[in-house]
Amino acid sequence: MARPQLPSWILSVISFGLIGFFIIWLTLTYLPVLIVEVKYSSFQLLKSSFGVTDLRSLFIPNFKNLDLQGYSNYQDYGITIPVLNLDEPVVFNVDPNDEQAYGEALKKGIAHASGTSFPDSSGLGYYFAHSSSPELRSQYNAVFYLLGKLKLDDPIYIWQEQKKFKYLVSEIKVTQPEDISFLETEYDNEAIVLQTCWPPGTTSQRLLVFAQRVE
Amino acid sequence: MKLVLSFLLLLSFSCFTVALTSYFSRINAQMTYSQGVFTNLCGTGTAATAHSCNQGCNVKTGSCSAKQATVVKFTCDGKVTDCRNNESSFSTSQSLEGVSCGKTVQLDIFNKVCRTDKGWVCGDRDLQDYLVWYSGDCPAKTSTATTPQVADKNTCDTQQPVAIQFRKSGGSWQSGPSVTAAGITVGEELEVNCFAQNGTKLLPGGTIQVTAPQGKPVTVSSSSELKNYRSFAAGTHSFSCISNSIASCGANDKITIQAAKVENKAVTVNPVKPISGKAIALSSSAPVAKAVPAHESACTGLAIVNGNNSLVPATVKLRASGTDNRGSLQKYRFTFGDGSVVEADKPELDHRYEVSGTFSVRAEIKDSQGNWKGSDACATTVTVKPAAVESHKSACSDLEVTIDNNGQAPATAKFKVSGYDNKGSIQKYKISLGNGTTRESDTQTFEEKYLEAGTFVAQAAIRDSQGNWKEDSTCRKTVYVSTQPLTQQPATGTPTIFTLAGLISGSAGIGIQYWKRRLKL
Repeated sequence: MARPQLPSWILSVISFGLIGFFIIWLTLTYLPVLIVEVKYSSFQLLKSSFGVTDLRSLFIPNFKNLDLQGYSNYQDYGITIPVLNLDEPVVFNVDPNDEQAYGEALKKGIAHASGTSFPDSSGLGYYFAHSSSPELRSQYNAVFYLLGKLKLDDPIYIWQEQKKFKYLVSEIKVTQPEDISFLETEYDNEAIVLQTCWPPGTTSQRLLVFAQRVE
Repeated sequence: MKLVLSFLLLLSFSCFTVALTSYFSRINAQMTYSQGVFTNLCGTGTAATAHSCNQGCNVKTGSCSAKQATVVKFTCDGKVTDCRNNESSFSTSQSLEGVSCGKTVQLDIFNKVCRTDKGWVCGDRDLQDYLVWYSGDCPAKTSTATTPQVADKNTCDTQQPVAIQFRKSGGSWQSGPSVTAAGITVGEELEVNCFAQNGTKLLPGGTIQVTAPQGKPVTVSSSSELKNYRSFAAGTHSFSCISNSIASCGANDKITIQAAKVENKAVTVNPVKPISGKAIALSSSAPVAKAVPAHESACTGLAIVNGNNSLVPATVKLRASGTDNRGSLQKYRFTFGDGSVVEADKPELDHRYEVSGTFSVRAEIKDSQGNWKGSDACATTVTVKPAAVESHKSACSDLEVTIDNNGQAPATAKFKVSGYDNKGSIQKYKISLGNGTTRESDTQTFEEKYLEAGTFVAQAAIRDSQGNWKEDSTCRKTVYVSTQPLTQQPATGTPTIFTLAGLISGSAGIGIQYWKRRLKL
């Protein structure tokens, strides 16, 4: 007895549907990551080859390269990390336990967790942003993808109300999402931690970059 | 078509590989040797900042070598990131060879022999390089095994009694539902073990959670052992031990951590470092801080050294003072009452007033831990006499905000508005509280209870002697009322299930196309 077979066109619809979903996932999740990676690579290439941070400075006379050591486009509320060429706004006092609240904040930039320290005060300030996100609605869905490239003693600057606070990376580690033991620790210096999901494209773990205030 | 499908498949795996490569290159903990995995290496973690990582340890050969006999090997049961048991003698080389399954081995290179007649004499600054390696899980027992334990299933019944035991580092173990006499004071290191089978073994798959006084449960160890735990909150700490591998198996016990004993004589306190999975080899005989007094600091005074009651323009010298029982004051901040705010490294400062009037001046100190502190003792009034001819000048110069409950909602904020007027008195004060409420008063102070968390911009104004409202940027402050502390790190990535679904659907779609073409359907 011949086995019943699915018509060929049904198989085609199913397979192309699955491939379509795959392409959508690939585009939504990794296109922003790819853009960030390409920007970072070109930044590194320009810096190492020509000593500049902006391609335009090679062609436009007197073009001033942006120096993120001393400047930010977000001097009221922002974070700059010069080695990553990162300069993004910060939304302070965001409820980290309310997914909707921090979801809105992450569309505007980097979120500062409510209940943790502010710049120029003792304790640990907790800042978090996407390493990837399945939405193409804003530029902020892969802000912290590059955090994994930071090294010990790399500088991080936080700007608040025109004041600049400098921190140096002191520790980098990966933890489980429910591990918040580092919040129980007493820090002998003003400190911050930058957090994002790790590895990019998942929410399985958290990458934490700790930094200590130096200026 | 095949080309397109192959390209898509290649693209997807390239993307995922890029992400994973980035991930794994960062996480040295995933590096392997033989059948095992490294759980901590010099060059990662807090400990690395204090060490030179002198390349004496080689992860490829699984060994540590030094020119002199300064290499020591520790061996522990189970998978840990910091192992200090079964200390070997010091030699010029140690390796991971011949270690059985289920063991963690830590190899440390120090700058000297640390075990002497006086006990352990090294600290973290003597540590030159290290590696911590777990030899891998032992194979599961099969039915062909001949040991009597074959029939035993790993159930909670076989583990009983399960109990949590506590000890001060170097002390003896204590257990019980509520341990009060362990002699632990705030800041001291505590070891916690989750024992099974009447204290003979550690509970398999155990994790340890702690709930500090007025705190929430926090996972502090992903194994049945917890070392170097330090709390700075006095009171009863509840510990929970839960097994991930055995259903409904664990224990709950409490320990009381006492408040610090403040001695009359001066106490030298070493800086407190964050606790993490560091590989600092301190033996049980290593010195432990006796008592850490609670940190106390205050702004204790603001004096006008000279220049008060001078004619405008007047230069006034001010001096602030403060105390800190753990270190030096870092900075001083002066709010002069004329709209100027200056931060200085020294406690004494000159300020020139360009307008006459009476000014509310205050100072704050930044203590050794970075807290800005002001007080009533650090507030005073400066008077500058008018010149014969001076135009009318007035302004709102300062808005001081203090908030209770550590700023956590519901919180009451207190506001004090200051201003000056060189031709008379300020008639009224007004404040917009940022929550839709505006108040007006004859006095400088206001109070508002914020029931909900949020960010509120408060703006104050004064009505001067001529009836004009003056609103300046120096009288604008942001009030942060915070939510509950974070209970879990927020999710900031693509849900893993979405990624898995994407990869599986892509593979399935390509697979269907492949078989359809192969079978010529």
